Amino acid sequence: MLVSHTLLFALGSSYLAALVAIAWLTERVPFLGKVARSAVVHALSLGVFASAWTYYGGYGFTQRHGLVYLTVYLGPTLAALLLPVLGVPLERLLRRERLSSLADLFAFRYRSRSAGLIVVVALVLSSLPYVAQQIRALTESVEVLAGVDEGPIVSIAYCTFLAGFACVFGMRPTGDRTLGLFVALALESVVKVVALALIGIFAVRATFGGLGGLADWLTSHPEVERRLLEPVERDDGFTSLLLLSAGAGILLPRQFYLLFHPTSGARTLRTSAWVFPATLLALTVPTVPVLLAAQAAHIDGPVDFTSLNVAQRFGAPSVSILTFIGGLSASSAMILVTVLAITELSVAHVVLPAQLSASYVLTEDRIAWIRRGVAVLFVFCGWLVYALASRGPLVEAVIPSFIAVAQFVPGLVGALAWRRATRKGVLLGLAFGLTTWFLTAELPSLLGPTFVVRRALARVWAGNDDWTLPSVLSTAANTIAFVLGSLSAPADRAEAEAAARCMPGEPLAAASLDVVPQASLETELAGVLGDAAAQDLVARARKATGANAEPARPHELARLREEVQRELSARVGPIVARIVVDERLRREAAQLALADRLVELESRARTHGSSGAELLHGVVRGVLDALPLGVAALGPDGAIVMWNAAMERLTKEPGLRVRGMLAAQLPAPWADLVLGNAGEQAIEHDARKKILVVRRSVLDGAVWGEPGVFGEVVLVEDRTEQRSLEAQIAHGDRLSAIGRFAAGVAHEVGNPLTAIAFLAQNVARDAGGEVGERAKDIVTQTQRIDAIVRSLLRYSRDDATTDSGRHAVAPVALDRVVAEALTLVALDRSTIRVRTENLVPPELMPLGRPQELVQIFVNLFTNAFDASPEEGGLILVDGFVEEGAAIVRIVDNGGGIAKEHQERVFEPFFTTKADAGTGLGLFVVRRLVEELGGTVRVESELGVGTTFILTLPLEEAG
Amino acid sequence: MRYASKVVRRPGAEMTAIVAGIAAVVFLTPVRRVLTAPGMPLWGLFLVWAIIVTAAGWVNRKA
Repeated sequence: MLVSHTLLFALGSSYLAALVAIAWLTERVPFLGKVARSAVVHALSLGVFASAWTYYGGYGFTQRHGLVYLTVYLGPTLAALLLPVLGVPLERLLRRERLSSLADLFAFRYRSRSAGLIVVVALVLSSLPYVAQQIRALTESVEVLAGVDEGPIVSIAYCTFLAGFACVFGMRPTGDRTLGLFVALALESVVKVVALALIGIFAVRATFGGLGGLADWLTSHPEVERRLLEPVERDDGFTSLLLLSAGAGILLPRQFYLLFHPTSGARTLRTSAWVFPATLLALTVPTVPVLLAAQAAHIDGPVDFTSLNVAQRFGAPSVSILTFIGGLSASSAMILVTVLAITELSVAHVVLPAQLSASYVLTEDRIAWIRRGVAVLFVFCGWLVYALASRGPLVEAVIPSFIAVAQFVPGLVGALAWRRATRKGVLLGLAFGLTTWFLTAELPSLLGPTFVVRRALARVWAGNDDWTLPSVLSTAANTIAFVLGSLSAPADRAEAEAAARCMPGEPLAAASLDVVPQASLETELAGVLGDAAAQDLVARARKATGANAEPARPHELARLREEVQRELSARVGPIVARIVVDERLRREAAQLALADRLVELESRARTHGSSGAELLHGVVRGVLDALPLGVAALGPDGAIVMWNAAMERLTKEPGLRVRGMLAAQLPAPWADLVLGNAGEQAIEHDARKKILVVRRSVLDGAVWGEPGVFGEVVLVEDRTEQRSLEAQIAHGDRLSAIGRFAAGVAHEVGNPLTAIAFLAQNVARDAGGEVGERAKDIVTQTQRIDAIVRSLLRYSRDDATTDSGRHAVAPVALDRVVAEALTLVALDRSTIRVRTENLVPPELMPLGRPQELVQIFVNLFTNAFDASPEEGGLILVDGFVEEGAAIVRIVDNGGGIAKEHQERVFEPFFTTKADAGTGLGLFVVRRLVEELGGTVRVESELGVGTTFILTLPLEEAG
Repeated sequence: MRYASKVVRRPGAEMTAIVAGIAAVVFLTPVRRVLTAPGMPLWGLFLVWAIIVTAAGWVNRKA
């Protein structure tokens, strides 16, 4: 039963349009963007490995090679299982060095543009037939379903769509680019799994009536089961294809592109270690049942399209269409990602270096258009191969691609694990391996069984498969040439440095560095990227390295140069970045001072992982950083060699900036401190007074391996807090002494006062008239004196009555506390005409100690009185309950506190009253309030007034 | 395994290496032939595969 080709075209177009819509929405809807960044979506996108060649071709391959077919998926499963172990270090290396492809890695590790170029050429050559097979699978599936051959129209329309999609969604600037693509790819994986599962269920039910029927049929046809299993038992290409597939699962351009994409990471790789194999398993399971169903029902037709044949035979157009959509998913996903990967490779290793040689300015727009052009060219080259040379069974036609990427395994292993691997070795290995591959695998696959090399191989190799001998021959030639070539000559300096950067734990000492003056960086880069982009890039690099605006020291300049190279690499690829930075910029070899050498070593140890000695250094460094003492070590030349974290906190000078600098060049007051005498010193820094104790000790030069030369270690202890507490205690003692004195005076005053009051009352009672009225005035005034005396007595009374030296907190009538504090403060400020209003409600009773609360308010009112104008001053105190706490506001209409002082008024010794204040009043307020479990803050506006807001705890209800 | 934990610097890398090692032994050595020997059900291979994938999911569950 045929399906209308118009319907197929409409459905296929709708499906592809839906993918475009989803990709478009992903970049605009935040929720979809979040989903797109999830590790599972990323891992699902790896299902792109299962392209049309396995989606359709798996049936034909299983019929010819039995369950050897499983290796195509088992190989990537094995490779994926190792991703958390072997993929993570590779991912770290690529991220650290801003590399994005296998060609980048080869060019970087072996310091060879040729190595990168060879990888690109091999990947392009091996990918074109692969892409051609995808186009072919689509056009032939249309032919099977619709019964008409419209290959040219379908293939051109399809290629046009894919090229357009790649141009729109794959050519964005670095960052969140291709997020929409990931969602589209993950969705395509799900569509493939669902389509295959449904066709599997349909075929088994339609042919056997269910799984029981399938089992019965297999029991009655043991020869079928043996045909499937025997190639596995005999190892007819099982092991070799499994190993090839394992390599392909990681190294095929599309797989590498997705696995090590900038948005990927260690978490993604660990998730991929099981999501990817699970996807592959789900894709594999239906193949055998569908094939057996076709055999049992004697269904004819091209065996690669068995799933379509089965659906058509049983008259199920919906299943046919679903299968077609699954195939469309498989091929479009593969082509899209391959186009993106190949475009990136070709642009970075071929087109941009050529453009650079021709002195073009590589603006972002220009690069984007170049990418689009290369993408379109690659898609239509794939179409050309499809039109001219696409033939043979689907799976066998793409196995040469697997053999091609296997040629990169020796070089990759060498890059990650063999320090002796050299440029010469890898070039020889690739040359031998790829030539053997081209002659024994690629050409025979394109030219068919009549090709002379294939006939020659068939005479010497009696195996039942076409891939084992070419893969063994090419990888063996490659490996031998690689090893011998590498051993034949030692690595040069650049290669040795690259090897050390690629291998974790390699010692990385350097006596000199290549440095580029910043001005030269900007000038040269402007010629490549344009003025604005060059300045932006250097600024970003400077920010990333934490360098000064004008970095001058060797290690700063060297790090800046490295960072520029990384940034540039992310924009134009590592090759162009290296050409620009390594070959065009004027370099000067700077001999490193001790401090620079240490900084360089430490920075490299941090970036490249630690060997034992570096680890030990890290531990020592960590211990020094954890010390609450500032530690600075000076080399024999007076340069700062060490500057620990406490020093950074104290001085606000980052170690990276300070180290290497002469101590005398430190900004004031630190130069004097570090070079001055030992002992206690009071310094003023950042408008803060600090009390520091300095100790010095001589360091023997043996510490840094230069016996007989001496340096110094300077210890700096910040005693500001301690001194403030001591001053506070002394202040308290003085207040206490005054209090005791006041109590004595009050007591002595009390007796005559009582007598005066008694006598005045008698006069008032006996005399009457004006004299009586005056006597009443005397009584009123004596009562006022009595109230004042009692307040003084209470304020000075010793509160230390419990074992802990403090009363327990209890609810305190705050209005009385405020009234008492106002009375006390008014005694001293009687000349200032300030109106006070105590609006605190009597029922407001926060937890506290009366004495401490009085002191809090005395201190706050003292400041308010001092700030108030002599005429028209007003101090307002109110209180209320909010969120279970008592809030008290003390508002004055004084001069206000400057904004820059507001954060500091609670610091010890901070005062704006010149010599009149101790700078401890508000410090004590904050301490006492916090001890009571409350908070205090200030709001102020210059010329308007100040409000202190206290939050005090209330007794919990019940 | 020591290499794994050193290189990856993450607890659990050893378990991942063990699962991958078991999978490699099962599929790359003659052990595989046990799974395809006469009398073994056809789905035996798939079952082993599923167990290995599950184990990989388990050891990497906190990704």
